[in-house]
Amino acid sequence: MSSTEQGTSSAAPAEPTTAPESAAAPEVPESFYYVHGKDKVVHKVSAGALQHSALIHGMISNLGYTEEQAKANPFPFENIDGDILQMVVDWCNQHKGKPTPPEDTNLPKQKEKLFDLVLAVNYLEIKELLTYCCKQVAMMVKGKSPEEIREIWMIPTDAEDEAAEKEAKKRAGKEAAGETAAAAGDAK
Amino acid sequence: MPIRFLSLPVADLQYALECMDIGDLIALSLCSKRTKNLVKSSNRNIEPISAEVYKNTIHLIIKPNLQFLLRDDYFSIALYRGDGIEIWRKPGFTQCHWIAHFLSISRTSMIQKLIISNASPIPYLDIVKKTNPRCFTLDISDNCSSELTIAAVLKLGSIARLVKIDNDPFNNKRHHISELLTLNLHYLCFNIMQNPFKLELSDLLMVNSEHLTIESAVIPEKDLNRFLKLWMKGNHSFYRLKYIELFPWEQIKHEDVLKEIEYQVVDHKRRLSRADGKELLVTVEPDFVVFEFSIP
Repeated sequence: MSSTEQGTSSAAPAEPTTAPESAAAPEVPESFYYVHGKDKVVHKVSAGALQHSALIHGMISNLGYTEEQAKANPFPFENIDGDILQMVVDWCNQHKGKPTPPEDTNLPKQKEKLFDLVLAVNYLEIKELLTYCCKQVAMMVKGKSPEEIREIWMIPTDAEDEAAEKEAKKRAGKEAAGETAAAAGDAK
Repeated sequence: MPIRFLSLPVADLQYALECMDIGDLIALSLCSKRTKNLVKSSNRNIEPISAEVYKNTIHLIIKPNLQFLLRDDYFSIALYRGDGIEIWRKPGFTQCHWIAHFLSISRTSMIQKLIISNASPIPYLDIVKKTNPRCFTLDISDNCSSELTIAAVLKLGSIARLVKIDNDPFNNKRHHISELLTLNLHYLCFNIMQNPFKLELSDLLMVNSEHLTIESAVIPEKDLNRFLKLWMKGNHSFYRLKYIELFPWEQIKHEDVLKEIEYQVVDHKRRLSRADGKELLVTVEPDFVVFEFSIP
């Protein structure tokens, strides 16, 4: 298993680093948590950065982990690709403790990953980032014709929709028939 | 790089729709039946369309900077979005289909305003009637000829809730006001501001619309008085008339209008009652006259 500390990969969960943010900074040490995606790469994120995610924030509040427990038990998000989780972590770190402006130029702009990013952000319940991502999705088709929109957003034609619906009905019928046959077999 | 838009979680999809321009939303609605229903069920309000007939074409107007031109070839529509002209094609879509689609996504069954401009050829009005299901206001522009104005009311008046005429088609010997006043319309409005619009008692007696409004009306007080007396005697039957509103070109004297007529004052209006129980509420001010017909 490898891990990253604010974007930097390493072989094992790294020790928390105390960032020299301010000489007169308060003494309360910041707590850190660990998350990993499908690629098992562990990312170390501060509790402040994780505040953006309602899901993780809820998990932290409920679990009451100590630093050691948190290190030993990274939150697993197996449904999120590693690079997508990295983007999310980077964004959370950049916006730690401050609200997101309506137009944030520091946010991820990788359109090719946008769909997966929306799904991940939706799952992690990061409202501000989700808002931005949805705006980006909408901007993809700005000024486009119906044909272009169909292509960009992979929208099936009516004929394709009808064929898929027929296929789904057929499959459902087969499954129902299979269940009936199985029930009859059980009865015998 | 394409994305599977329709596979997004519902809330995200809705939020993305909220971020889109109306023009983009209309384009999306034309992609498939599914996207049309998605746009219809979204929280976005697409304003009701207005249509303007100009020469042999119909313009659909959503906003000043978002207009469509219906073309009768190749199932296409031309779009003006402020930055040049685009052509959108939808195989199998006729002009009727386009209009029905726009009405459907704006969740309305009526075109807000159907405007007839002076360049509309009279024979083309038949096509306009076939294409447009219903409209709230039929607006006949001030620069239309008398012939075009009367033809537009005769051909299209039945599909409109309100027929608004911005010119005086009777300022010549070729046409008489009876051609329009006898029509069975819901609401007829002569909206002529710049010139006086002459009326006589006989004109008022032939009104067959439910509502009639005339701006700049020129009618003698004695004709209005005679009209009220005839109504009181029950000598004349109005089958549909509910409301007449006149804005006189010159100020009206209420004592002349109500001379020798018995009435009661109710809420600043004069109530005239007939032996058969029918009532007429009359408001006479120097700048306007209103007759409200009521049946008990």
